[in-house]
Formats: sequence, C-alpha cells, structure tokens
Amino acid sequence: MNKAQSDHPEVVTLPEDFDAFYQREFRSVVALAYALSGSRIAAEDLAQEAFIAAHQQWDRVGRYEAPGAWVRRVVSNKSVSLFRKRTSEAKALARVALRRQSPLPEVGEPSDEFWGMVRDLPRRQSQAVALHYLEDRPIAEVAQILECSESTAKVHLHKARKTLAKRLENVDRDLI
Amino acid sequence: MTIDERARQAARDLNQAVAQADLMLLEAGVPGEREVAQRVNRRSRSLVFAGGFAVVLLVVAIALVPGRVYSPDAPETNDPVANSTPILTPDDGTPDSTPSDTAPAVDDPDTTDPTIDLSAPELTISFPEDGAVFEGADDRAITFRGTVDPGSEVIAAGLYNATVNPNGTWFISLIIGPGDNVTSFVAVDEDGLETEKTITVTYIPDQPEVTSTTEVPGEEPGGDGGPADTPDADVTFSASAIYKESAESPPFDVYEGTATPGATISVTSEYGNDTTVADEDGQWRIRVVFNEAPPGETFLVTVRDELTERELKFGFTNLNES
Repeated sequence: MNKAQSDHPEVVTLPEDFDAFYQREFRSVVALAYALSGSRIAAEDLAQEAFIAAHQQWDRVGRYEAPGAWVRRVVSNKSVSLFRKRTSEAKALARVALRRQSPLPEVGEPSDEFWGMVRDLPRRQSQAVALHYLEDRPIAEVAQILECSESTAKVHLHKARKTLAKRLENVDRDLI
Repeated sequence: MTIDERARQAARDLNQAVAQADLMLLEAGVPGEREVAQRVNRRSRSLVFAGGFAVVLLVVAIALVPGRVYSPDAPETNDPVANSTPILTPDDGTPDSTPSDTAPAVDDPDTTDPTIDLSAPELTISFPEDGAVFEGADDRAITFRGTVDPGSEVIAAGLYNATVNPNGTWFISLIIGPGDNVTSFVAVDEDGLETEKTITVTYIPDQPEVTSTTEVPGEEPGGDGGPADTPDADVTFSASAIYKESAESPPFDVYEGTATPGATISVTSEYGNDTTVADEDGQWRIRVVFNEAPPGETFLVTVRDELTERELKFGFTNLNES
C-alpha cells in the first residue's frame, strides 16, 4: 500500500487506464492465443475479442487486482476451443481478403512443432505450459489464471512435461 | 536439450514472431483511451462484417454447430452493413459476475458450446471421513477410497496416482505422518478439467518413529547360527524428510532416521542420489542435492534401508525458479 492509500484508507480504487492496459498487454495476449490456437490468422482476433470483452466491462474488470489474468483466462479458453478457433479463423480470413491485412509471421521449426505438441495435450495442461513458459509466469500466477490451486497447476505442468519429453524423445529418435 | 530448454526456446521463437507482427491496433502508435475504445468498437463492427463473409465460407460448419445465437445487442450497430447482416456472435462467455475483486471468477467461455463436455468430473471421498483420527502403528497406512467419473484420473497429494476402476471407484494407500495430514485429491478428466477435494486426517502414533519387525531375507526370524553381521530380528528403520522443498540453488533436502548400526541407507530419485551408513547408535542423517530438479515440479524420493530392504517415499519440490 502506498502512502496516499495509507493516509486515506477510504479512497476508492479507480480502474487502471484501459489504454495503458491495452498497450501493455495486447501483444503478449496475442502470443498466448497464437500458442494455444496454433492459428497465425485467428490469434489476433481471439485476443481482440478478449480485449473487447474487457473494454465493455472495464468499470468492473479494471478494478480487479490482475485484469491481465482475466483477459488471459478468457483468451486461453477461447483459443483451445476448436469451434471458436475455426470461426475466428474464418472471420480473419475474410478480413484479410477484404483488407489485405498480413497475418502473424510463422514461428518456424522446431518451435512450431513443439507448440503443436503442446496443443495436443489436454486443454488445462496446454494452458499451463503456455502460461508458464511463454510468459515466464511462476506457478502461483498460472494457478491464479487457471483458477485452480497451486498443487493442481503443478500437476498439470508435471504431466505436460512428462508427455512432452516422451513425444520429443520419439521425434528426436525418428530424426536420427 | 532438456524439456525446459526446449520449451523456453519455443517461447522465445513465438514471442519473437509476434514482436515482428504488424498488429492492427498498434500500428498507429499510442492512441488515447477514447480512440482505443472507438477502434475496438470499429473492430467489433469489422468483425461482424467479416463474420458475415465467414458465414459463406463456413456455412455448413456453422449450421451444424449449435450454441451460436443471433445477437441484436452486437456493439455499435449504426453501421448499415452491420445492421443489414445477420450477426453470428460467438457467445464469448466472458464473466459478468464476479464474487471477488482479488480473485475474479470467470465463467468458462465455452460453457455454451454443447459439443464440448465442460463439466468438471465428480469426485467423492467415501473413506476416511474428513477429520478422522487414527491411532497406532497399524493404522498409519490408510487406504483412501471414493468415486469419480469413469475415465478420470485421481491424483493424491499432487503426486500419487490412485487406482481407478472402470466403474469409477478409486482407491490409494498413503502413509500418513504424526499429527494432522491435509491431503488433497484432484480428479482430472480426459479434457483436463479437474475437481479438487481436501480432507484432514489425524494420526496419533504409539511411538514417535516407525518401528517394524522385519525378516532378513534368507534368514529364519530370530534364528541363530547366522553370519556375525546378521542384524537382529527386531530391526528399527525410520526415515523423515526435513524440508520436502527448497528454494536454494542447488536445491537440497536432508533426510534422517534410525536403522541397524552399520546399515547402508540409500536415497534415490530422478534428480539426485546418495548413500550413508547408520552409526553405532543406529542414527543416520544425509543431505542430498537435486541438481537437475525442474522448478515447480514435485517428484518422488525413495529412502531405503539396504539391509532390511525396507523403504519409505517422500515428495520433494524445487521452489527455485531461477
């Protein structure tokens, strides 16, 4: 608590400026959507939809301790839904066709292959991996975003690592 | 390359790709809040228009998938194109009620899509009851039982997989420690959705240490005529983990206990091993370093009395994120 707050404990918390929030968070949320949806075309739209939702409820969302967690939770759930991914991809394709907007660049191998394996994991495991590694978030923050206990988040990460290690081992052996 | 290194490399590559992207709303510099709002709303309209185009592309797919609704409340419908176009708005399911500012609950955005089962698995613990008390050495190994949705896994204490029968009943035997034992059980279904339940059971030991009568392989219990270094029939082996987690670099734990004097005690795990010998009083203590333990991961450490072949298992978590 800063000094102003301690001197005036009755002060009402104002929502963070949406502009600043958007500028700070948008690109990393796009990256999260990209990792979890696997679609270079739909990722930006998935992130946009999450920010639109945040903007429409900003009086409330902006007062949360971590509005970034809220947006990430929304985009994580959207991105792992096959239907939504396809719908957003179709809309984005239409937008590209109409506006000639370029999609995101390709990630390139072997990282693209790695994210493909992440997307093949159960949805909660893939979300935990993306949040932990892509955004370098500690277990506690992953748990907060996924709305689960830290022990559950650890279990998701543990199982994901085991599965990924086994699949990567098979891939590497095939390459030899 | 370890899985952590591989993951971090993949994360760098993906972040780099996004950093190079010419994202639509960032291309014109830093706008004011009102301008962002206008852009977001314009973007909503463009999505609506593009969505109409998408209907043509995906008419069959969309027609087959229920849960999409016509929404007359789509944002900013002054756009004549938007007004004249039926709006297929994915029910984004974003939260509209939150019980706490510090821990905002979010309705799963997918809950309106009936093609996906989003209900967390049902989990019950039928034995023991929450708050149960067990006494005596014979009551230290508890078989926890319950039911879960068939096809789900049940993970105890964040580490141990219970046996789940096809009909959904599950069980797992755990050795509880003296005092209160808060044990969590997490049911994880095939979609990765989970339900967690926690119960507390209390163990009141007869003695402060684990004591057992152990037969030495190849010897008659209590028999005579064996080799000079044959241990007594009554062998006490105990072990305890001091920390069970570490934020140090490198991470380590300390194990200690009792055993037959001269007995070799080995500590083994996926990320570190070591051995020691019980002293003439039967006391032993060992510090084990887990150099390669992945941050945040809990793994199993086995402490084994090589003489009696008895062993105890402990969990260890590396809390060092660096």
